[in-house]
Amino acid sequence: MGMGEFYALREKSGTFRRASRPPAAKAAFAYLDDPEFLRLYSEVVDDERRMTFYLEGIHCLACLWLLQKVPEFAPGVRRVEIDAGRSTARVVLDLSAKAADAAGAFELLGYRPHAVREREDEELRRREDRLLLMRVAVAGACAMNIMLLAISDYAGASGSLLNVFRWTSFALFLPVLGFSAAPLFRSAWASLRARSVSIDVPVCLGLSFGFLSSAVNLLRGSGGVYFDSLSTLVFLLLAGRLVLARAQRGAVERSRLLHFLTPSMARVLRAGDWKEVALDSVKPGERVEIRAGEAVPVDGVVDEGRSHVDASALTGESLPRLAAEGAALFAGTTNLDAPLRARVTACGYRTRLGRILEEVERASAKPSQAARAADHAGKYFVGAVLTLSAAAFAIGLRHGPAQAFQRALATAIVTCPCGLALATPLAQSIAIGRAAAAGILIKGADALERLGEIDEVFLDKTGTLTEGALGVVSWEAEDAAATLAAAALESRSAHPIARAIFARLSESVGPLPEVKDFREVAGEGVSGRIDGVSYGVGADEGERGGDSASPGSIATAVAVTRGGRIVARAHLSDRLRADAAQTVAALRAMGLRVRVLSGDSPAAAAEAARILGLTAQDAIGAAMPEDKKRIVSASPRAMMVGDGANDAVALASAFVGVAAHGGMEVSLRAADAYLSRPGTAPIAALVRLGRGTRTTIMRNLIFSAAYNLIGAALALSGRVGPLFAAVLMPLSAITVFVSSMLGAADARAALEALP
Amino acid sequence: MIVIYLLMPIAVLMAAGFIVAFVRSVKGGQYDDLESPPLKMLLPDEPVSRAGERDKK
Amino acid sequence: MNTAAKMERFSYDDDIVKKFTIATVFWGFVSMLVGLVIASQLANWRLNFGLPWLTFGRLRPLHTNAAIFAFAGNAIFAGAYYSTQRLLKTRMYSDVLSRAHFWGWQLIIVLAAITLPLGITVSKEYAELEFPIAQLITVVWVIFAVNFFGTLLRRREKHIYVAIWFYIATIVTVAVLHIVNTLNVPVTFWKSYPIFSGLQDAMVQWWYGHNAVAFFLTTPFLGLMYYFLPKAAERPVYSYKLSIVHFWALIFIYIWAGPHHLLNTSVPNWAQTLGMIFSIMLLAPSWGGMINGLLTLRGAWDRVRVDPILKFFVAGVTFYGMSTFEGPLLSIKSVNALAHYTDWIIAHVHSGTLGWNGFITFGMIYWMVPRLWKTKLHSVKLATAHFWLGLFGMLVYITSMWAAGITQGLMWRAIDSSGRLVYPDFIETVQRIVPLYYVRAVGGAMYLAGVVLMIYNLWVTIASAPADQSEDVFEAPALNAVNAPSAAAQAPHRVLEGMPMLFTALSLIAILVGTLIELVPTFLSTEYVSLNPPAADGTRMIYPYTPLELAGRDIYVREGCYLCHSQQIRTLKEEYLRYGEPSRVEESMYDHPFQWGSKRIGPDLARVGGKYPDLWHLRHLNNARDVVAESIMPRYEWLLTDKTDFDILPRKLAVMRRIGVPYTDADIVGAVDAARAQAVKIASGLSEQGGGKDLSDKEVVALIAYLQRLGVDLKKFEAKQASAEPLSAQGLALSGVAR
Repeated sequence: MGMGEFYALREKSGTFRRASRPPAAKAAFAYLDDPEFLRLYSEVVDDERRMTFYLEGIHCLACLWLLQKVPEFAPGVRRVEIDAGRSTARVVLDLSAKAADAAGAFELLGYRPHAVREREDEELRRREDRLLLMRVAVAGACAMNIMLLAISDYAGASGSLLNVFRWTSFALFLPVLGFSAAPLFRSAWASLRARSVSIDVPVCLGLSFGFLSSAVNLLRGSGGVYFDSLSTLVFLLLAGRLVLARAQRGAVERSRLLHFLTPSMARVLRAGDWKEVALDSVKPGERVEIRAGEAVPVDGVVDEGRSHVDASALTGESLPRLAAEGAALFAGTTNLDAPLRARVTACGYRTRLGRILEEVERASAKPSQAARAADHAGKYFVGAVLTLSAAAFAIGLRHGPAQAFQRALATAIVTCPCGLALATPLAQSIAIGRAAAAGILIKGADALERLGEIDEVFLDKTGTLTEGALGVVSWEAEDAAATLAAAALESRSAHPIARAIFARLSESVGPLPEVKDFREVAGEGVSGRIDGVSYGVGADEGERGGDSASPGSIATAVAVTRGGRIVARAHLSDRLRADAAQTVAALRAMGLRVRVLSGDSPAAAAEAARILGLTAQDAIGAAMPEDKKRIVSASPRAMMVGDGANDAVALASAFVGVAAHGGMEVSLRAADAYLSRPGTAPIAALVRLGRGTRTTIMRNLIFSAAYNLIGAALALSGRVGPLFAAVLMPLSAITVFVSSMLGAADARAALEALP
Repeated sequence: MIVIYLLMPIAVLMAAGFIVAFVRSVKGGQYDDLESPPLKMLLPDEPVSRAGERDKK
Repeated sequence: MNTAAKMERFSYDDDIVKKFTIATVFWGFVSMLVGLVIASQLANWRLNFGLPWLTFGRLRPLHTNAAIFAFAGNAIFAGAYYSTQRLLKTRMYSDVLSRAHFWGWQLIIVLAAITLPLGITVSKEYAELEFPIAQLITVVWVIFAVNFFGTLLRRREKHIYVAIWFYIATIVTVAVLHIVNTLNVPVTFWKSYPIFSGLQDAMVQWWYGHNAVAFFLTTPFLGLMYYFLPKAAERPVYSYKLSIVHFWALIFIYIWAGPHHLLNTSVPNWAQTLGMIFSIMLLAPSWGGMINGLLTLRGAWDRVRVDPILKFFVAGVTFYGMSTFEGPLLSIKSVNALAHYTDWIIAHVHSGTLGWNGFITFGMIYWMVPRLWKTKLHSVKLATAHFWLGLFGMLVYITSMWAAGITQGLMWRAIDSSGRLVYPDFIETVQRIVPLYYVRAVGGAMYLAGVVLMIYNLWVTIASAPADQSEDVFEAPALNAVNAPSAAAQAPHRVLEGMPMLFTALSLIAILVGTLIELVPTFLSTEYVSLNPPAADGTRMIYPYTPLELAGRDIYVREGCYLCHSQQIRTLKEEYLRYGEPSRVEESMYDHPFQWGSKRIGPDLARVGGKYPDLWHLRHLNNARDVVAESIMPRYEWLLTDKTDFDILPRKLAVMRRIGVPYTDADIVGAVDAARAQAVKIASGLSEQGGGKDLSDKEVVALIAYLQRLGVDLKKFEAKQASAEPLSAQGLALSGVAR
């Protein structure tokens, strides 16, 4: 297939950065062809079926070249349309073809496919995007043409020609007013009807006022005509909104796509054999099978098999728990070493995870301060504009109606708050855009605003501060044989402790000896005979409970016995991340009170806090999800950083919730921001960005307020006519734009410094 | 200077014509995805076969 | 391979691209050779060889038309045909229409190469081709449009890449430009008069002139850049969003432009200001294109050192940036006052054409030829040599013209402390810059030498091409059943399908042109009535030309005198001192076509009437050096021997009346006798002064009659007014005279 071509292309062409997740275990795609699943995830158009897949790892031209090839070797696939922006692939298949083949083809090429349901609002949103683009283009084109006609007017054209120019600019202004400015009028009208006053009201006031006075001047044949400044005003406002909408959509879009990664299939016993079906069709009472390494899709009770289950995501405990007959299984946990069969007790929203999810959705409907503040300011501002215009009219009357008209119009235009309207949203959308580019997805402008106001930080331990995986911290053995035996024994077991030890020893040890009558007892450890000598690896009795002072040892000690005698001892811990201490120091340097909040044992939490340079009271251990929620909502201005499902409720109810890299889907949905990069450095960068944006907004507001005051004064005194006002007004918008683009310098530096 | 009465309507009609073209192209979904086209145009065309056989011009 | 998929097999029509490429190279050489000839003729007048069809006046239009329409034209078609098929993943709509377009275009070029040297010209710059050829251009252009839009409809790629949008804009806009600028009423098969006159004609001409540059030498080449530069650099374009924004920004403000060619003339002030501001605004879209082009090479700059194709593209885009910066600069009124009519404009033109159009075309050809003929370029070293030779030659050309232009500008406007011109004789300026014409010729020769290297290089490359040139077959899924007609619509139907669209388009254009020709003249003449009102005693300010003068005027047009002599005195102090009162709109209102001119290699003639005796003109036309020792004007002895065509005069006057010139029936009927009578009077005057016998029926007498009439009406009118009432405060209305 000319892979040489692929590598040649990849090497030559420029690549663009895309957050890509680590490749997960290979999953069978049979469930894709389940009719129930297809009904939800695909649509049939005359004789072809269309599905959309989110592909992980699309990052360069060569990927496009490769993916164009899929129709050639995946049977039944007619066409693949790649959207590099959203890294999705729209696949067109024959009706007879199997969706699994297409997904398999993508997997074969190294791009993990995830079926994405083309949401109804997708089409709606795309149409709305296009409409806004059309409005901006029409406004822009007409504004430019009217401006040229206006230049002829200002440059001295006269007589019948001037009349023709003015009528033409009037004709060209109608589509701007009728089509482009429609959303402005609609939102102004809606807010008026709700008896509150939004920012659009003064804008529409200025527009209609200017239009009427220009039309009157046109009919009277004397006086100024201001279609050029009005159309430019509409163009600038809409262009601002287009940029804002695109920046915000980009961030939300990317985070939404990443969330679609939980399993949506289950293996159920139906009519005598195990079939893979869509998760939505599983009912309580059925029997479910979960193989080693798979996530548990439903809540249930184990009725066959015995294995370890990693519940860290759901409960935050870093140690895997044993699950045997009669033990409860929860959706969201992962089955580690052996297949389990269970009877379903609850699925969908009724599972424990589901209930957490519901609670999260209720808690996260926070009112967005930014929108409320803008409306609030808007009311006063409109009042000011109205009174000022009336005053200008009154003052102007002394010099005759024409002068009054001019001044009132000039005041209305110059005090138009488009600078103020742009101040907050523009700075926030640029910050969100920058953060998204650095891999930090902030889901809303108000979240960014709240980020600027936090004074306390709660950090979850497992997975956030620590790497979330067990690692051998120290290994002492009497002789090489003990180490060799330990490696051989542990290589046979899938238990996380066994895997950690084997990973540590396998580099330094040669070929492993053969192990006879190997036995693994869940919960106690492993044993077996090597060259006639019996060895065992299990918990170190002597050390049980007490935590030795070895560095970062938060979990357990393990002993290797030869014929009953301890010949080697190991300490395992969930190691702290390298940059954790540095990040905590940075947060405290910013005057924030930092506390560790963990589901692990209080001793483990205290130990972690000590290493990070915090005092004992800053560490809270054995915190169940309900405790975390209570602690976090107790302090009004706290930021909670976590990744497990147990953090989800806390993240939702915190003032600002931040989901760390690799977190559960439920915590991603609950949080206000999601760090798609490993490590803790993004946390400090995020806070700095929040504060930097606050200072930028403050600066913008001061600029536009100053401009409005000076402008109003000049307009009132008649020194500034509507023309000059029309020039001043975009200037204020541009200064606000430039200052937002500059943004807080240090916030930008922090983002760029991220690895 | 009244040639303007000829040139200006032409210019405005041209501008209007291009606005209509733009609106139709937006409706046709030309600007939904602006990241793939510059990459797709770089993809080399591989001939299926050099032989004169082709079923469709 | 899967079976059910609706994959369609097709192949690209590369043969037409080969044809256009060869035509580009051939006509490129011819046009540049003619350029070199006329450049040397300016340096040394003897190189005109005294042959009518070799003098500068007739070869210069051939050079401009050949360079723009033959060289750049064919290059655009070659690049467009190549890239459109690949971007839309389909063959051209119809091979027949493609061939018709190719051979039609080459026919137009050959006809131009014949008619222009014979003096058959409309004298409107870059649109000199006479009526029949102009109609042929319309037909061929419509064929190209139908073929192109047909291909667009049958595309297999949903997204229309930005390069295609540039081609669409070019096709639509050039069609409108060409039609509006060729609204002529034919007198004979090879002679026609435009319906516009004087100021109106100037505005329409330079609306066409500016936008012929914009939409024939800029947008199509931006399209070529957006396809061939990424392909050669193997990099996606820097910002695809920017290319779309700057395309639509350029297209939306397609309001009339061009007055920046007429700054400080009798064009109304507001129009001049608008032209100036519009040109400065054009800087943004143009530089959007340049920035996008150059930044596409981010990360590939090291390859520019090695690859001549990238050298050509980089230099081409840079020159595009320079000339589109120089353009707005030149359209600022004060700068224009210095530069207008001088050689600085020639420097600006050639930094755009040689730099941008030339280098992009060379880069494109070096990239395309090996792929078209399925072989390797013969020698990369030779191509690099071509690049350096071309670059250096062009820099010599441009700097020499900058020097010449600024020298002219400064010398014309030099005024000493006592308020008198420092260089009153125009010839002093000419003398000072003739050496620079030699330097320019050398620069042009080097550029041409580079092209010769290219021709040799390509010749050997094509010669080494493999024998099997059969078309490759490609495969791509049909876009959707809707717009890709089923297999049934096979080749034979395609041609018939194409025809109805072609004929509807043609008939539409015919109707449009017909109505315009009927409507506009009557509509235009109303303004002139107001401009030139009959005074109390029934006399007017400006009167139409006498039949003999009209005949003389057509000789003036035929010989291309407007290429070196302007007829428009600007509203500047130094021009008032040198030529007299600035030209007024009314003076040229009966000039179909207008003769304001755009270069002053020779002095302005707007007020030459009566300045020199007839004999001076006779000897000057015969051999300019007899009266002005260092003159570089070619000799026009055939004017003393060729006979004036008197019989055609009544028809000429009738057509003139139809397009608004107030000739009476008596004038038309008595045209021949009046002309002969006036000719006899002039001839007898000449022979008395010893200028030679029986010249009355010779063309020189008609030309002298026309020259002696220039600017006379206004002098008579003002003399009458001055005598009728004391010299009012009218004084020197220097601040712009026209409405």
